[in-house]
Formats: sequence, C-alpha cells, structure tokens
Amino acid sequence: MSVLADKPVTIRPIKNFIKSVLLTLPMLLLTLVLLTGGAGFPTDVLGLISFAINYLLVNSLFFMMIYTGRTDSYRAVLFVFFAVCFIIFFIGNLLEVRGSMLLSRENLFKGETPFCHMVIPMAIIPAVLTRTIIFPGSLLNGFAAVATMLIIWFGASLILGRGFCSWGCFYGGLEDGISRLRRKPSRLKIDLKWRYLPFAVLLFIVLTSAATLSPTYCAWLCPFKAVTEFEPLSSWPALIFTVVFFSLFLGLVIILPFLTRRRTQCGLFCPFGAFQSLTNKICSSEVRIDPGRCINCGRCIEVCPTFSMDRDSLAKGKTTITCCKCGKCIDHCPRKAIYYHTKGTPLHHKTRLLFLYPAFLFLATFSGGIIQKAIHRVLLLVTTGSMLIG
Amino acid sequence: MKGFLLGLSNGVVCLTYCAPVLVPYFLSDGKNAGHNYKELFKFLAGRLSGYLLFGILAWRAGRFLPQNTSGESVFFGVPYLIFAGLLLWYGFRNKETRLCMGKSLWFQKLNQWSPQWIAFFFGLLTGLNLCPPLLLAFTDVTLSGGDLWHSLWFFFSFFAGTAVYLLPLPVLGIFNQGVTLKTIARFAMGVTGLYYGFLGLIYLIRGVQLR
Repeated sequence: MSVLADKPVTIRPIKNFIKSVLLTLPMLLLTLVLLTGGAGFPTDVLGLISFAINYLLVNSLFFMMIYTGRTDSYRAVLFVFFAVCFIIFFIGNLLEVRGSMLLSRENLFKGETPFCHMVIPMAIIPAVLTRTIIFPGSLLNGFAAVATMLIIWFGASLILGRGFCSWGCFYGGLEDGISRLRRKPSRLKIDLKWRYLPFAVLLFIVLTSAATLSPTYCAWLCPFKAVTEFEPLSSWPALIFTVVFFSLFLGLVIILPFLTRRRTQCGLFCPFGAFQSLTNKICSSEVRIDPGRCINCGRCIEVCPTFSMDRDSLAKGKTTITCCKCGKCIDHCPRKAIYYHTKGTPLHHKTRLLFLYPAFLFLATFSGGIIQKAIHRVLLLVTTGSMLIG
Repeated sequence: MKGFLLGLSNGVVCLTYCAPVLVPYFLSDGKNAGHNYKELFKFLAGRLSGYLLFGILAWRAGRFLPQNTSGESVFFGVPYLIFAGLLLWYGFRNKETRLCMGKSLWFQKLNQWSPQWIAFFFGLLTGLNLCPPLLLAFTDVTLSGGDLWHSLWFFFSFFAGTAVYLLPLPVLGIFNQGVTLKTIARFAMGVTGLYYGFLGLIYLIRGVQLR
C-alpha cells in the first residue's frame, strides 16, 4: 500500500478523535454542573465513587457517539443501565420508606405514591372537569412530585417528542435490553395492525379515567407494577390485578421482546407512548429518509424496535408518527440515507448534533441522580451487606 | 321534574360512563353523523329499558338499597360479563382487528353477523351499570316510597335529563375517514370489553364469597 493511500487512514482517526474530544467538552461541563446539582461533590467515599462512575460512564458514551457516528448502540447502554438502576433505586426507596413494595390504602390516602409519566394522558380530562389531579401523589412535595414530572415531561416533549420513550422513559430500557439478547429474531411475525393497539388503549384509559376519576391504567393494566409497587394480595380483585400485571410484564417486556428483538410493550401496548406520538407533530426534531440515497433494502424496517417504519413511510421519506428516535435505523442503514433532522434545516448528517446534545443531556441528567443512587446502594450492599441507607 | 333535574345535574357523569362504549362504537363503523344519530336513538332506547327495569326494581324492592349482598353482586356481574362478550365480539370481528382467521363455518358466520339492534343491547347493558347518578336516583325513589308509576316516571324523567349530554356524541361521525381510526376504535371496544369482563368477574367472585 502506498504512503499516499495510507495518509487518510492514519490522519483521519486522529482528526476525528480531537474533534470528538472538543465536541464532548460541552457535555463534560454541562453534566458536571447538572449531576452535582450545583451543590458540590458528594462528601462520603461511596457517594463520590458513585458520582465518578456515573460521570465517566455518561461522558464516555457521549464521546463514543461522536467518535463512531453511531447513536443507538451507546444510547442503549445508558438507557438499559438507567432502567435497571431505576428498579434498584425505586425498590430500595420503597423498602426504606414503607418497609415493602406493597402499596397500602394508607399510602394512597396520604398521597405518598410517586408520580409517573404514564398518568399524564389519564389526568387531562379529569383535571379540566374537576380541577384535580386523579393520582394519590403530592403536587409539590416529596419524591417524584406531580408538578416536577409535568414540567420535565413538557420540556422533553417539545424537544424530543416521542423521543422521550427512548431517551427518558425509565421503563423502556428493560425491554430495550431484553430485545438485544438474541442475535436474530425468531420466526414469530407480528401483524402490523397491532400497532394501533396503543392508541386504542389510550382512548380507553382516557375515557374510563374520566368516568371513574381514577388512573385506570395504573389500577388495571400497568405491566411495570410487577417491578415497582403493587397492592397487598389480600383479596380476589387484588389477586386478579396482580396476575394481570405480571402476565403483561412477562409477555410484553420479557418474552415477546426476547423473541422478536422489538420493544413490544412500547410499540404495541403503551398508551403513554401513543400519547407521546402525538407530540412528534409539534416537536422540533424528527427522523427523515433521503429517497435519493435509499435503495429500499428494508433494513430499517427490519430493525425498528417500535414498528415505526414500513414501505409506505419509506416511500414518503419519513418514519411513522410512533418513531421513538432511538437511532437504530440510522445506525443500520447501509447507505447512510437516514438522518436525525431538525425541522426547517436541510437534510444533512451534521444536524444530528442538534438533536444529540439536548437528547443526551436530557437522558444523562434525568437518569443521573437515579443511576448514582442505585450505584450507591449496590456499593452499600457490597460493603455493608444491606442496600438500605440509614 | 325532580328526576329530570337530577338527571340534568348529574348527566356529565353519565356521559363519562357511557363514553368508553359510545365513542369507540361511533368511530368504529366509519359512518356519518346522521347514521350515528340513528344508532344513538337505538342506544338510548336500550338505556331507557335498563332504567325502567331499575324503576320497577326500585318500586318492587321498596326499601332496597345496595347492601353488598350476594344477589346484588350476581345481578350486576352477569350483565357485565354479557356486555364484555358483546364488546369483544364486536371489537374483534372485523378483518382489520380479527385475532384469528378461524376456518369453521360457525366462526365465519358469527363474524359476518351484523345485528341491526346491537346499539340497543349496548344501551341496555350500559343502563344496568350502577353508576353514581343512577344510585342517587335509586335512593331517591326507594326513600320516597311511591307507587310503580311514580317510580317509572321518575326514572323516565331522570333518563331524559341525562340523555341530553349524549346528544353531541354522534357528531364524531365527521371523523369517519380512513381505516386507521376505525381500527383503533375497534381495538378500543375490545379493550373496553376486557375491562367489563374483569369487572364482571370481580362482581361474581365477590358474590360467591358473600354467599
């Protein structure tokens, strides 16, 4: 091989490396400020170690995103880690506060239930009709207050739209992780008509929540009750609910994602995802396909975890409304014909950064506190034998 | 007049109780508003029948108030289960939402069957739903201790008061374009069916436990 031929191969990685370091610097600075919360570094050793692990992990992943040009592979690492840490953190928190994962009537009456973004679509009509939030949580006080979650959700929706489901949802990482365990999907084919089911569940829960003035999804259908909190098994209805929660969790979050390599709960069931899809219409970012470069190989349709690509949408140069902006199709496209696009700008791979900075910063800060506390708990468990604080 | 005013003042609650059935129903057929009004009248006829049945019960029972008895649980549980079956069948019978393509003739006939009066049965079974406004009306009649005609008239006027709020719903027919919304609405009917199925099951289990 000639010297001239070698030149671009040896010089480009160095140039790319320096460019990636420079582009990572703002993230290093921003995450330092946001992860410390402006209160300085943790004073205890375990806290400091947890912070350091989190800080290094987050920024290494961002650096790799810039350096390799791949998004989904590194996003998924943090997203899956976030979901696992959320469960460790949440269960640990419940054990400290209540002594168990059980949600008693007393907790409900006291308004001690942490608010979750899943409730948002159910709360709108009752809030308009009765000026109350139909959730037994606190508006301003305590862990995961209603107002805090609403503000976070609103800001994220404006920038990310349904990207919230791939860059912010603390449940999504579970099935995202499980969907990556198999190398190839099984022969199980899911009819695309089921993509409409989340919208039907959304319609159902919005209407029934207005009728019963209670969050029907949380009470009846939420698969993630299996790994967060649930009612004591003291009656037949409670037993039926628990069977429903665990069946949905096993089916939609574990078995189907494992078999199909898709996020089946997000793509075929989650009403919040359906609701969030509507915000894709108003947010500034989207995923677009360049018809001039696309060779219709269908790879993007094959890999899309939320069934948001089909032949029709490909022909139109767009994803469907349910796109979670995870970036998997962009990473897998052999012709680099798929782009992160900011509305009002020309199609170009450089606009990826306009999406990547806010999206990653949101994921890093939204997950930061939880990941840090979860690592802290695990370190406590290793060093003291108990993951409970105090 | 008292029944009418009671219905009028609580009609929003009735609307929210009927909406999970009526909204998907109107959207699932993909018909225009005019057709939907015909369907609404069938639904209301069914609902009125349910209310009049309550009127007879309220008069007959006299001092009956819901007391969480075994009989009461079965009385509400069975209609819920029938309602759930109807909603599931209606939601999943069309080719867009069908769960399986069953080859038996019986299955195919069942899917093709399109009863003209399904809205009437939906209305009747929704009318037997023990929602808070109905409970209020029931309590009022039983405590006043009037005769059968008084009881029937009270429930009729109560029905008239609540029905006012359902009148705008058929306008949803303006969204009758496209398969997407129809498919979503049919799935929603199926999900509503599952919900009523759970409710019915819980009522029946409670009834068995109370016995």
